Amino acid sequence: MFSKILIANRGEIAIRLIRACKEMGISTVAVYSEADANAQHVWLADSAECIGPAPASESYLCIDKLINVAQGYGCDAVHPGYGFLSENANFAEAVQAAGLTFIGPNPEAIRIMGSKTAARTRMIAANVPVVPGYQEDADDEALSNAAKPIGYPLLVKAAAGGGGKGMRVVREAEDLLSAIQSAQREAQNAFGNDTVFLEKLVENAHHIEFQIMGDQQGNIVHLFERECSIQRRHQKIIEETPSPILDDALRDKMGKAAVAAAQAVNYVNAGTVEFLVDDNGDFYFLEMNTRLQVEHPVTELVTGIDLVKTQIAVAAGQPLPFTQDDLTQRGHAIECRIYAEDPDNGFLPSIGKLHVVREPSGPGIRVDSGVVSGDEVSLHYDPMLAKLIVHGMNRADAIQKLRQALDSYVVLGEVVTNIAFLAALCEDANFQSGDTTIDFVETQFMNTAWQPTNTIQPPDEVLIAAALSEYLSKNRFNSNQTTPSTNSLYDPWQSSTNFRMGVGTYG
Amino acid sequence: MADFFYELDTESKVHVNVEPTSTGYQVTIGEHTYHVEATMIGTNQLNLLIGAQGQQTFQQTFIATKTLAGQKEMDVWMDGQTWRLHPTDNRRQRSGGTAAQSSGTITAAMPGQVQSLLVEEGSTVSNGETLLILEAMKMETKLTAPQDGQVTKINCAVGDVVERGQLLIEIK
Repeated sequence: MFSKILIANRGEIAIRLIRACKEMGISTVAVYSEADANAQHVWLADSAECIGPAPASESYLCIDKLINVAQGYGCDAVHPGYGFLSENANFAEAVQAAGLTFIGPNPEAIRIMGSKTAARTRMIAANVPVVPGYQEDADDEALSNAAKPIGYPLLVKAAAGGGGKGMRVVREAEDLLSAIQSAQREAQNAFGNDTVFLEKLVENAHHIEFQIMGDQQGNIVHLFERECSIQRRHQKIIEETPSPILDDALRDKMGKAAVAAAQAVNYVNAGTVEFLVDDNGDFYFLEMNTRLQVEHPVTELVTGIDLVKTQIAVAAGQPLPFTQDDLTQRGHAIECRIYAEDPDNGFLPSIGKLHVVREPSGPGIRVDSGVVSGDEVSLHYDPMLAKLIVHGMNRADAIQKLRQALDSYVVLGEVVTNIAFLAALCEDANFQSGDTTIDFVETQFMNTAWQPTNTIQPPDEVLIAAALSEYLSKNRFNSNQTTPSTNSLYDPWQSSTNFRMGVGTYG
Repeated sequence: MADFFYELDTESKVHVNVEPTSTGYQVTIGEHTYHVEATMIGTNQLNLLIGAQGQQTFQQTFIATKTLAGQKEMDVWMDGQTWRLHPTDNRRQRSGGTAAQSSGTITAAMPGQVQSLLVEEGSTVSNGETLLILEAMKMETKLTAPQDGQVTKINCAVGDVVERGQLLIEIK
């Protein structure tokens, strides 16, 4: 087992990793940028080193600096967390070349799954269903011809892409050529590679992903699914398991497909296979994420497996301590992401000081947080402050628990959050019925149910609180004075300098 | 006794009067008068007991005050909602609401760092032209000219970190 691990990340996930290491008796080394000098993860680790100025490109993304710190402190392994360098094959290789263990899959698997077209090719060879498409390197005319059998609507997608860039929806054949050219331009600008491919647009789709875990002995299992259809601008907001639309038969079929996908790249460690599921119950491979994911806690709560500790154990060469038959789902778990963004201001990011952070607690309530009262939220990193995860007996129970937890979650300061927005989502009938697809938030919820607080009159109790707090702070020196002051120049209790007893006069 | 005024984001003003009594405070808002006992816990938590003896409701609140682009703001949390109040006084004539964008002024829509400035003082600009790009948390926002005109004043530089509502550019 490792004796010391470098935590190559920050914020909430760094804390999560450090906690797992502590539980396993493994020492930790944290890294931080100048903006994060007082961040929680720095103080929780056994050692910490500053690796540069605030911008990630000058700190958390600097492969050389991270390797130097790992070697300097005598680490034997590196955990990349998620985001940053976690899916960077060069980083994985650099860690290995330095004689350290990269806690994740091998660089080859990262590379293959990092290219959407290479991943599709591998999946087709492994008989994993993929979204019907066409990806041969071809000229515009060949692409146009390939569109006919795929059918409309379809997507033109950048091969090297992500985050919705280099993507165009095409509903009519006559729009195809201009869409291809426009996507190629955007892809060239964003990724330096103008290769595009075509993919059928699966409408009214549910985004359902499967957690997989493989050991170095070749065993690969799935730990069931997560449903991630509540999204806004391709950013996940709420994730849950089990998915309300899967029955046991479909779950089993998809689970096997996820394992086959992982086997196709000799996958080791934690990963997630993403699928789109349409109205007919047909599912298609979308992509694979070769790292631990933000929403991993919902899987942990229903299976009882600590995924991070399992990652560390398999990276250290241990075989998986469970087989597929050992794994079951119990109850229902839902996670929501607490973002430093302002739903009353177009969800634009909000930065600054956190005056008050009071997290909810209670049975079945878990908060994976990166912040405490007094922390500063800077503009250099992503806006996720924490994750609130609940585990209930069933979906309705979990939603009620989530609603109560959100109602007692206090985050106040210069930073504003999406907590009230999440609470409103919990109340929505469509969300409660599980009847939501990936465009639910933007097309239905925002237009009908969501009402920003700045259009609602505050209740009198709020105004009373505001006025009294102003009143009390103005009058605090006049209230509760019980000790009479003597006004004597020689009274030692009035003196603001120090004095020694029995040694001459006061100075 | 003291008077407090709050401009609400809905552009109306409310007057709250506070008078200490032997058992707490008497707070009047419009036609309603409340009897209130209040306990401040730490610097941000205010527990209230509202109502007559034997009929009191308990209310736990959290309060944070801050200054944004020169204006004082008070956030009050109660029962899962956060209300944003703007303390003001009765005399000052303000144009109400959050930092309003009067014609010819460009204010920061979000806090962030000025990534690029596309104009200079004296530049001629047209309605909708991008003047400045702000960046925060991996998001870019373009600030555009609300009218045709000439840039009279630029109050920021590339690399500056600005607050929400901060006045950045003036156009005539």
